[in-house]
Amino acid sequence: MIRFLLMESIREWKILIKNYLLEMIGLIIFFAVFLQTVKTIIRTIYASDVSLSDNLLMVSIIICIIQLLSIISQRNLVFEIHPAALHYFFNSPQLNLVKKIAFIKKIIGKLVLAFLLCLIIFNFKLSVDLGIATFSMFIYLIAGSFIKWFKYNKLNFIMVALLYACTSLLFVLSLSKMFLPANIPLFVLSLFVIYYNSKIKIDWGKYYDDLVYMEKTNNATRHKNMAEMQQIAIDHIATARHSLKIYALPLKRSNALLCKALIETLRMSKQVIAVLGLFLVFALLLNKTMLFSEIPIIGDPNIAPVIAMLAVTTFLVNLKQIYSKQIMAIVDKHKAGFFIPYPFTTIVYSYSLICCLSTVLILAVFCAILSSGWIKSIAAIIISILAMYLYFFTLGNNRANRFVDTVSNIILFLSSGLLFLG
Amino acid sequence: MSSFILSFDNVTKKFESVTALKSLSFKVPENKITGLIGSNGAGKTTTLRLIVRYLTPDSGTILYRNKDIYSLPDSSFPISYIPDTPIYFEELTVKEHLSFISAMYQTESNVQNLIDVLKLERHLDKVPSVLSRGTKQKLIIACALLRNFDFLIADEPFSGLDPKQIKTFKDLLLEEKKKGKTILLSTHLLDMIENICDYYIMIDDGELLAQGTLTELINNSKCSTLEELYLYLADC
Repeated sequence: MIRFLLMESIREWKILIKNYLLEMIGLIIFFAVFLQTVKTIIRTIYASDVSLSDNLLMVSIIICIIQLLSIISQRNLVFEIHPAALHYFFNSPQLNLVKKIAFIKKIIGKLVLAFLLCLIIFNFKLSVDLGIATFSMFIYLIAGSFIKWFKYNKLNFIMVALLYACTSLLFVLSLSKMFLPANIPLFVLSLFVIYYNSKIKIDWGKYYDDLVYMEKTNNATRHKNMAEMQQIAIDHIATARHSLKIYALPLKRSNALLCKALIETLRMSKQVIAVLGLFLVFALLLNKTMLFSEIPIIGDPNIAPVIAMLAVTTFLVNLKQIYSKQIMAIVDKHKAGFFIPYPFTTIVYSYSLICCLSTVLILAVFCAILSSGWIKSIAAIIISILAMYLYFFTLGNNRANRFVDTVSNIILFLSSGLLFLG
Repeated sequence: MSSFILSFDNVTKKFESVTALKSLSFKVPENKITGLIGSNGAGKTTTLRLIVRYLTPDSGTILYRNKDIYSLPDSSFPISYIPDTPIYFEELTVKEHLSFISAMYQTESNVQNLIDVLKLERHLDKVPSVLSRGTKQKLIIACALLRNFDFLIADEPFSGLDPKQIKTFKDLLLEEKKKGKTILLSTHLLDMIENICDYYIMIDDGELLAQGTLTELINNSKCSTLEELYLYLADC
């Protein structure tokens, strides 16, 4: 039986490598450069007064926050098995073997991750401290995986929160060396969590459906079938449950489009938001920390502000594009026969208002963290909004729009310069 | 009427705000082919998933040969399941699928017969992704029949099959019935099962509308066909 499962896995990997060979080579090169950069960053940190191993309290708290976000987000299935394996082995003793294989894969993955994290924390020097820290981190990460699994199977919220709180507290105490023997109760609690897993009621129906979706996506990715990947994503978004419905808003004829624009914003893909957010985070890190100071070009104090400006501009341009697509989607539907009883200007006004409100909100937070001064911040925000409005109102005219697009992008670039230059 | 192999007793199943099954009670007779009939969203798939233990009921009991179905050991679980959507290992060929399943259940001797009956010879070295919908369905049917079972449940098994394949599958089911197996077919295509089923369970909106043989059901109503009967009961 294992032979067939292994054959399936090996063939999946073969297809993945065959279809992504160039990308994998690129990724390996990038990873090598990235690792070198990480090492340089770590050495820089250690060369300065800040030492990660002297700030284990901060490090452990950061790891706890990441663990919490991981538990809340529920992006991946904790234990992944092939849905066909679940189907054919369900109600048979072989299912236990498949579950054990998934469990072992998880353990190995967490052990490697814990070791790598501790290597970074302890500046790539093997020591007893590193060994103990790896042990604490590993137990904590494994316990976190099971807590995430409990949450997935709808275990009582208080129990999940309690388990998370206890394991995190013990982890912080042991890793930060505030109370090293906390490793022992952490280990015992983690064993309890693993034991408790055998008592919970697994939602097999939901798990099976999620595995099928995951495998469809993986299969389309492996075979580089972009059309199918897109269709799966569209189907998944279409069936996603949303807590806020448009009819829960005070809908009137005068604000219907505004409400629609708001709902579309709130339902924006989390991946898109995360990618956009990365640009701003990068600009912040570049400007406010010494993380990239050792890296050529990016670390140059004369060039770094320009790169930060480019990152912020990229964020604003992409935001502008997202809303312009939404506006054009409504306009196109109207042309195709779906009656929208509003003139073009009303459609643009509604969507651009939501876009501008989003921009103001995000840039306000960004400027506050950047500490760029309130006059410069207000000026940058106003100019960015005006540039976006200019673009949106020419959307109906292709020729003018292309010219205005370039102009508005330049204005966005210059407005972000207010935040980083002078 | 023979004894009953499976019984649902006031089974309720909810999914968040939706009640899929509302105190559903019915019995499946042993060694018969039973049709579980209902429109889309009636609760047929939920019913079948409860039987194979993917789901657990919020209330009520499900008994298999008078024992709680959830107490049956995995080592000798007597139910085989054909899901509504084909599920397979993408990179294993048809032959490998059959070898795999038959090795698990030590039913290697049945493989060749299934290949012949379901006409899978031409597809043995192909992976599922290149198969037509109907051939994928035949593969899943073959895999389900290779499992050791007393009770076969099938969710929309005719989906994707052409008329010849439907005939072949029906003949297979009749063959299994002759061997003493019990079969439960879930479908909304009434004309497909009218000439094969011995017993019918009709559900709508998670509730039982009627159960019985065709004669019993029609005699108790003014309808003359299964379709008329179902539509009449569903409208009531």
